[in-house]
Amino acid sequence: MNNAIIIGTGKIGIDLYIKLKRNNIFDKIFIFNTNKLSEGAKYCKKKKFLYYDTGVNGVKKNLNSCNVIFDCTSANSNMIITKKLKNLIRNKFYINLTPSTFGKYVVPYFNQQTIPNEVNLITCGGQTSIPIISLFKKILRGNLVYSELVSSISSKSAGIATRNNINEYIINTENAIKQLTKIKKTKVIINLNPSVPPVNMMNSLFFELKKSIKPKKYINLKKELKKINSKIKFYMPDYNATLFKGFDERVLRVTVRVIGQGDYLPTYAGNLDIITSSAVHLAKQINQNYFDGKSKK
Amino acid sequence: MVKVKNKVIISDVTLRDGNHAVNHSINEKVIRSYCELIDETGVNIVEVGHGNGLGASSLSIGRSNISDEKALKIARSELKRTKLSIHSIPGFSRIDDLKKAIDCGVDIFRIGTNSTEIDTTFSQIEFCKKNNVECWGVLMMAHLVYDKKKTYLEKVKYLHNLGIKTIIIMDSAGIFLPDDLKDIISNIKKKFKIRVGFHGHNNFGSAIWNSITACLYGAEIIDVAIKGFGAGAGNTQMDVFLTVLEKINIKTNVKIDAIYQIAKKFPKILEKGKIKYKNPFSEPKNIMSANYGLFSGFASKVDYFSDKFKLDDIEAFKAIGSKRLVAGQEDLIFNILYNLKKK
Repeated sequence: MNNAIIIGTGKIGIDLYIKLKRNNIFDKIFIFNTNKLSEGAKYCKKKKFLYYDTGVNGVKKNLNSCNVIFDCTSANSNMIITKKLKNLIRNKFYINLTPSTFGKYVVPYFNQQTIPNEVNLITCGGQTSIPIISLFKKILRGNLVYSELVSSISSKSAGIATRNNINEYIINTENAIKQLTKIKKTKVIINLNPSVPPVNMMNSLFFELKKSIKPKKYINLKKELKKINSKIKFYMPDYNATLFKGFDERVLRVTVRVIGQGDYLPTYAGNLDIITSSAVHLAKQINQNYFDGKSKK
Repeated sequence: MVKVKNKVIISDVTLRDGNHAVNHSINEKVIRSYCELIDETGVNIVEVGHGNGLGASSLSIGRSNISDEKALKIARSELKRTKLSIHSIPGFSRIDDLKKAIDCGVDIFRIGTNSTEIDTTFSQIEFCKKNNVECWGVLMMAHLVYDKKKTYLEKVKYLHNLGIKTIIIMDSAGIFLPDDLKDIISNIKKKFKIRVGFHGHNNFGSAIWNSITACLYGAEIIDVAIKGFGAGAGNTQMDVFLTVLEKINIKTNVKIDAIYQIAKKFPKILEKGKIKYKNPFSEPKNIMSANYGLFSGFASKVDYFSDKFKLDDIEAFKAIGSKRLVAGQEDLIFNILYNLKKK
């Protein structure tokens, strides 16, 4: 049996359930929380998901048949849960979708051959920006001195955990950017926009250079950025990064619009989709690399 | 209307909100000379920092001339009687910034965000409580929660339940009129045992009377700026406000004559710090900005980009208004005007 467990029935947990189901990666997907009266729990029951309100104890009982566990709770809960499961998850893949520090940073965009057992999927901002920052760092090298990411997400797409974890969000995203792209100075900012109807997830990336670049290099960046767009489209159909020349020659701007697939929340919640889609993409890689893609096709 | 018995607390935001007016270029020299002067006047609180508060120095909003830490340390060393406060918006600032501010000797931590998202202040407020520092809740862009359902009461309740004892109603867009303040402040005072302050912007020329009305209906703290020096059309002008308060017999701790003198000197103080002074004024673009309920701090960004793109500034504000940006989304002004230019 190749089953999966999702812990947490917030916006991310449910969206991930729908996506995993559609992609047919696992035989069964179980979803757990501790509050059967929550909005998410009600949704799970209505949609006849394999839902249980038995929390970590329920997870323990189902671990045998599962290879992959997705933690979609909050930074705090993640710490508590992973402590409780410690030895039991040693030979499993534990995918952390909360902004806690647990696990090794992974951006599934970079198809890795070996996948760590404990994966940290960073944040929606991290999954959105790191492929781009990494590319710019590779092309611009020492000329790139600083990057800045400003993410705007709609208020409606931000659940309680997101709101309580703003600090963890920023720190985790900044640390992952530094670690995975080798850039030394970076800053992350996040905004919630309350507009009705909700706004699409938008990200602005600023790249500060030591000296301005030649047109040829600029065209090259533009070309390579297009490649990122088409590669990410493989798992995130509506991801669009565009490079702009600002008015300051030493600053490049990239705007990334991320539109979701409208699974649990409507399409404005691209922030939800980019991290759940990354998780699905990673699950496929795990299956391919470790279980011979053995689950039902 | 209540009879105002207590002295109104005067909180001077010139060195923070005023930073919006000069692209966050306020420097060591200006902070030093301004704080030295204001400390003698009886002004209760001085706020220092980047226009968007702690940790907001950035390419998207504008870089501060000096680091938060340095600015706070300089202000701290000059302020003997006047308290030192900071503005902090979670998302720009992080807990580490608060730690540094505590080490710099900040007295009052004003944790705020766009009112609709007030629950994002949770972890910073909890941190302040744990560290036993005075923490206020700030409802920025308060017009977003001023509706028939009185959503602002819900937001105040959230802060009240967290143990917050002082809140500031921020008219970040400069859209409120005196009757709105009468409504908001008296309703809050009726429902909660909480100290209320008001922070005005002068886009509609009503900052003074919004502030006075707030006092008359129970506000105990008013944010002001010298010569009204703040974002967009500016804040509640300190010398005018104090004079009117005196006229209607409401007391403060402040020596007005000293404030008149500082107001006269202020342009010089900036010039000595090599910063160009401009009187705050509600230009047509600022009127438009308030009309659309936009954040006053957008003004300098819109000026810059509409000039670069050669666009009419009023049209620029209309375009941004139609996209309903809120404070913090300065990065998207470029994109909206870029698309406007392409049309």
